[in-house]
Amino acid sequence: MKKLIILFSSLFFTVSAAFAAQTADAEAFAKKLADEIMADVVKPAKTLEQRQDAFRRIFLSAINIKTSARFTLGRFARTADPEQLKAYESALTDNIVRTWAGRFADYGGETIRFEGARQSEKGDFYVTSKIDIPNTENDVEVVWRITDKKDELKLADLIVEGVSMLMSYRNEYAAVLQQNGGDVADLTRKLNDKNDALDAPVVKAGAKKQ
Amino acid sequence: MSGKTKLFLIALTLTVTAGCATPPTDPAALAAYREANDPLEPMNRKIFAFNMAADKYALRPAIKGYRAITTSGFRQKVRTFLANLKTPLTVVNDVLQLNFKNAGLDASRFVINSTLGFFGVFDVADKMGIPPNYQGLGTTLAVWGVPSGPYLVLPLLGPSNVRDAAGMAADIALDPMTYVPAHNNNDDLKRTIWMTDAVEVVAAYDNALDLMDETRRTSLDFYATMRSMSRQYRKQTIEKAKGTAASGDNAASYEFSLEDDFDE
Repeated sequence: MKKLIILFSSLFFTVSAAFAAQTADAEAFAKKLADEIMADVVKPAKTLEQRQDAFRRIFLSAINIKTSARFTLGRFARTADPEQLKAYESALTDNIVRTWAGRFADYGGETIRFEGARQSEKGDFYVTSKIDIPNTENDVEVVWRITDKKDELKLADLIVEGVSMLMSYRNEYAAVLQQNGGDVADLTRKLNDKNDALDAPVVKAGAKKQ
Repeated sequence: MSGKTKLFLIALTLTVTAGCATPPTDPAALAAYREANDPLEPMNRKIFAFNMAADKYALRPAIKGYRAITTSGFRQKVRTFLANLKTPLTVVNDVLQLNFKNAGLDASRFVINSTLGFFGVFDVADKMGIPPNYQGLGTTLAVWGVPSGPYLVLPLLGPSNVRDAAGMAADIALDPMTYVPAHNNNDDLKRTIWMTDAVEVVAAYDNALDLMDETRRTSLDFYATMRSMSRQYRKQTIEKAKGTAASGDNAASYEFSLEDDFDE
């Protein structure tokens, strides 16, 4: 009987230890990503181009662009051919890199603190972090969604104050695809045009026209 | 009825009486149509365009002037001061949501910030460990189980839905300040209250402007992006008020499946 209790309790501890290690792994993964972005994209005095290159490298190694891009297309992914999907992936990546590298260029003095991770019933990890932005009332809550596929952790989504980046892209592109009759190639073209426009010099808010 | 309430009701009527979209027949497209929850899209887009014009010709010049004569630290104090004025309304809503713990905390916030915080200019309570919390009747109705109803873009006020718009009207009706100008012949007092309203609009807009500009600059369909983001943000606020925010047992609204090709 005593042996049985020991056996069960050791089994229990092994299982819970494995579980704890996994959530800790996910949190470490998110922390490492944040550190890399801080060190290579945010901090040093760099040109926008250098920031974009650094961000692209970190971004592409952290996420699975194929599955993420597919998700943002929703049902329209099924009717697109592999080449169209490939072109779309690349246009989407360019758009994300331009959007986020620009965002980081405006940062300064913000600190990010991690507040723990949890694993959902379906197995994905959600790591909670808070960013303290000077001269604002509330900290911004950023949740890192991390998936574990074939023992490899990947960043699946970033949720800012409850707003999922992945879902926002999907909803936005659904509206575009609705209007163009589900033409993924046309969406890709529009994205590339937008990316070109984003490369043009930016006028700051306040003085900016439409 | 005060001028503000009247204006709001006119805006609401204008909003609802304009045209509707026709639902698609294809099942997948119909699912997407339901997910967007925007049967009034053609009209909503028109109001959205109107809001963008108001942004360009009225609000943006006002923000430009406001930013030119103030520092960001000062603007934060203005927001803190205005937020403090709204705290009693939050306490009422906390009670309506049967969240007596928050009602107590928010009442303390109001007392602490109105006294130690120099009439609400400094958020002393936050530093003492009572973080800001704002509850309106829209959230209370959601906590009671009232569904959001279709997506609605309100003239000047922006993204909303039928439930939140009704809640907002009730919030205005519940705010004692709404009735002061109508029942008072003191012109100075009226002017002060209208000035506070104007500053409130400018301060709120100032706070959201940079993020909005950024989103507008990088998105292909700004209208659809705002619709998606505002809905997701509201969902999180309501989950928090209900106490069902993400934790061990509760799946948050952002925990959707990554594998399915269908729009949920």
